[in-house]
Amino acid sequence: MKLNCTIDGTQQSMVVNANKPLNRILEELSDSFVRNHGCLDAGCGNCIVLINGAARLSCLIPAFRANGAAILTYAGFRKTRFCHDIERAYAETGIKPCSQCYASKTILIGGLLNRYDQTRASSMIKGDAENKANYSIYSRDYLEREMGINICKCTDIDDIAKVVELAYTYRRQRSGR
Amino acid sequence: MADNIKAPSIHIPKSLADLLTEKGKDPSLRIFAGGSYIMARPFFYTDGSGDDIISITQIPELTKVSQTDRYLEAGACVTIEQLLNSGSYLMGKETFRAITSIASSMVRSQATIGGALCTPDTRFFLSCVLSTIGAQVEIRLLSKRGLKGHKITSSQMWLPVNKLYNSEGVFLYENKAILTKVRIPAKTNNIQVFRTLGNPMREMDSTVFFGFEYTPVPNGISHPNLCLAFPKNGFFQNLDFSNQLSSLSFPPDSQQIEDMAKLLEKKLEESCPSATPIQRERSRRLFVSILYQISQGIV
Ligand SMILES: Cc1cc2nc3c(=O)[nH]c(=O)nc-3n(C[C@H](O)[C@H](O)[C@H](O)COP(=O)(O)OP(=O)(O)OC[C@H]3O[C@@H](n4cnc5c(N)ncnc54)[C@H](O)[C@@H]3O)c2cc1C
Ligand code: FES
Repeated sequence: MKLNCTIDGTQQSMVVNANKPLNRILEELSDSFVRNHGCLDAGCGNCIVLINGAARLSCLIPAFRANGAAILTYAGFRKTRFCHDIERAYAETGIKPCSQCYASKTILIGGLLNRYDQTRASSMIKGDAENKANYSIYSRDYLEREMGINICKCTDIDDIAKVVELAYTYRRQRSGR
Repeated sequence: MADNIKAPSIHIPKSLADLLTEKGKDPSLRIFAGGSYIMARPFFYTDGSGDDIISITQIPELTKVSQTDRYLEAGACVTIEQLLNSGSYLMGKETFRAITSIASSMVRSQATIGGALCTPDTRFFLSCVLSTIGAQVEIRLLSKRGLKGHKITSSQMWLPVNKLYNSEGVFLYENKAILTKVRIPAKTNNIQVFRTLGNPMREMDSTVFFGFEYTPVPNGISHPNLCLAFPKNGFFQNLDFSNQLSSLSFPPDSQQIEDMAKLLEKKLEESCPSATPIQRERSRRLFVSILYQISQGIV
């Protein structure tokens, strides 16, 4: 099939098998995309990219679902202000994921902060107050589940919580909120 | 960049009628919903089988959610995350909490209800949760009537979720039916307890999904419903066992709890022989601890 999509802001057009996983396409296009040939079952969580703004495991996205999408890998994400907030928080706290999971965890945190923004703008989960509380995206439980998609244990979840909090403070300061 | 691997063709029907016709004509078409299970199979791409794919997420009938006072009805292609968003008012808090414990929001935004229930050889948590609370599913059977004329018929029926599987946990309707809707009952005064022990993606042979629902009555419980699922090794929901459980007077003493646990072990051995020893032991312990908690009024 002919796949047309935007990768890190550049329009791309290529012929690929319709079921080819997006991570393989990205690996072939860019040397900097993390290679996870050892991962056969979506188990490592190192292939995360943003697709139309939402974090996704790229190995679970076949080419035919990526057609027309705006894809941001870490190489593109790192140029954004959102990434600078997170990297500033890494520097300030002295907490930083290892080189193997750095790209994915940074995108994951970026995706989480996007959710915080959306939730502030409009309550995402409408309905029962108790269920809302259980689902709180600010809870440690939630953070643990979200970050748990990446199996690398180099960073403690409480440390990640500090980075998330600080990065969100920077993001809000920057946008004057 | 086209690899030396057979490329599948992709069918994207725009209506349920088209889906039923296409899948009926060619049962080997692989139904592709969220794709999180299919793509996560080792060697899915490199094994080169390249089965043709029928992508079902653009069918309006399969992406609708509606509610009444008594239930929520969701199309098979509603994602688990969308289900949480729309079901928050209607679902009991334990059910809601159990569903939020599935993977992370990233996977839940991709995985669909139908995909979570129809994986051919692996049972996931949603099947246990929905079965415990008595959810029903609508399926459309695919059948070819008359070999010569290849006339396609489909018939629709509603089933309880547990009727989708045999006791080994195998999905009974692979390539025979399409799951189209699920009906989830609204919260009642019943009490539910759900637990997952183990990681269903990484420790399939030791993971246990546990679901238990009952109606509290003075000195006992009525309508108990226990459901156990073992990802690769079985699906257990036993009427006889539930009946025995409802005849137990509360609070049971430790001997009665031990007797019930032994009965559970026996039933599991009979109906889920492929459950591993650790899965059976975990199930027994979970069950015993829940019975103690019920008798002490903790759950
Ligand atoms: C990283 C990761 C973590 C996970 N963690 C958990 C977890 O913690 N707990 C848990 O319970 N599960 C977990 N899962 C499993 C997840 O629940 C399933 O992968 C998901 O529910 C499958 O849904 P899907 O829509 O993506 O299915 P697909 O991959 O599209 O399809 C799955 C199967 O169902 C068939 N199918 C799909 N829709 C229909 C239909 N309407 N009618 C008939 N057949 C159909 C397909 O042909 C295929 O065989 C995890 C998965 C991943 C990738
Ligand atoms: S490559 Fe390991 S999760 Fe995607």
